[in-house]
Amino acid sequence: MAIPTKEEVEQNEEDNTFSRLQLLAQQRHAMEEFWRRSQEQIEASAGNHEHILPIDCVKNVIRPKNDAMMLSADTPTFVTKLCELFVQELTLRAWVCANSHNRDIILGTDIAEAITTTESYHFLGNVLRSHKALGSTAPDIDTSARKHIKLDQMTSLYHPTQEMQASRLAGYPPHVPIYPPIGQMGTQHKLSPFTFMMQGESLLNMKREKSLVNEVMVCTNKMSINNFDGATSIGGGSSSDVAIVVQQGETTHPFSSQNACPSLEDNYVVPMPTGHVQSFSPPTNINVKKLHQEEKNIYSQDVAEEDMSNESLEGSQKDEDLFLHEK
Amino acid sequence: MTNGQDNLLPIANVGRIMKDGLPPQAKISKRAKETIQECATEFISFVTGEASERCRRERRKTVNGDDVCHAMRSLGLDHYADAMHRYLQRYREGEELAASLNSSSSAAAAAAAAGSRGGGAIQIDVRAELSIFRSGNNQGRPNN
Repeated sequence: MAIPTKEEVEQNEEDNTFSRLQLLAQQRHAMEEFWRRSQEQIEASAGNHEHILPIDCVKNVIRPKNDAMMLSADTPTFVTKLCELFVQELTLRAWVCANSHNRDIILGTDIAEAITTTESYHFLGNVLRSHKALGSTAPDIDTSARKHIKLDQMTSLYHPTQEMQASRLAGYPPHVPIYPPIGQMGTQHKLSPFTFMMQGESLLNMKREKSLVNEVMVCTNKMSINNFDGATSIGGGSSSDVAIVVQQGETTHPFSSQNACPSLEDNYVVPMPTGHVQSFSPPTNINVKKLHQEEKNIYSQDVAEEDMSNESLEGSQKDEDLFLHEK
Repeated sequence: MTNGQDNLLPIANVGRIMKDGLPPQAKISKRAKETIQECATEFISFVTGEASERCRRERRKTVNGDDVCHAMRSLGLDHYADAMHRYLQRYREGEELAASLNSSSSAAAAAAAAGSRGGGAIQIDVRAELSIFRSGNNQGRPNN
């Protein structure tokens, strides 16, 4: 298949509208190509192709909502193939979104953008919202002293928000990350008045200053800077931030759901939750550190590719998301 | 709302499916894989729930592929419905081929056991089926 050409998004609103139309046209073209290839594959395979997804897992997903109903013999195979088509189709849409931002890596924001621009995927809005909510409140469980302090303060800081989210996410199991998130991007203060975001913002400024002085940064140095920023910002403004959070929760409950939108866009790299590694053995500390390094490399490459234009892109992305959510 | 953690599809398989559909230089973040993992789980629950509801209205107890196809069409997922309708046809053609081969074997066995069972008609069919199978002309079979 032909790779969709990369666009350059400009700050002008008319240019944004034009690039939006271009994105939709590219998506339509990519989808036509995808469905044509899918039909050809179905014709050629005679229904005997090997499934990548385990059928038993698909049965487990179907079963809880269909306890009273029985499944015919062909249905699990059928649904497994259907699910594979869905994953590839949505991934391809996200790939078009990533290319429209001049990136070669698909991020969570690209998935969200693909879903919000596709009318028949409206039912996935709940998944996105719960995913964002969990992502923004993941606690830190590392054992160092500073991180312990950070963990305690984060827990007390986010206690009211977590209570609200717990009531909304009843039955959703908590994800415990193995290592803390890295690469938080800052946002405008009025959109997300949480210390979590402020921490990311100060981290972004710190990175800019560092890049002026020294291009090469040692990974351990990054970690220490990250911890220092977290401790300082949380220690400094914890009481006022708690008050802000409480006020937000009490007065404007609908706004808090909108508030959760930018958090998905900011988290480029997310720690891997335990429980998602069913199909392979849990990684050891060495493996975790290795993954950590790899993710840092990916993030550094991503930041290097779009240094200044990133902020304008993020801004337009957030505006579009908020606009679409309000519809 | 998504199901519990135990009912999520395995993320490694989801990642593999994602990679298969993309150009070689494409990279996928962990966050994107997790998002797709949850969306795929929700997609299955949503579509099969709709199909199950239709069965309940028609007082049937078994959900089959046609019900899922119909559910997708009613949910506005027409491309999926078209592709999977054709998949279902090809799947059933394969099933019929396997069934006819089994029928040939059992008919031959029955003929051997009973001796004169079925007469000339079954014998002719058995020979035709075996000769087609032996010569490897499966693709030459007419599509019903």
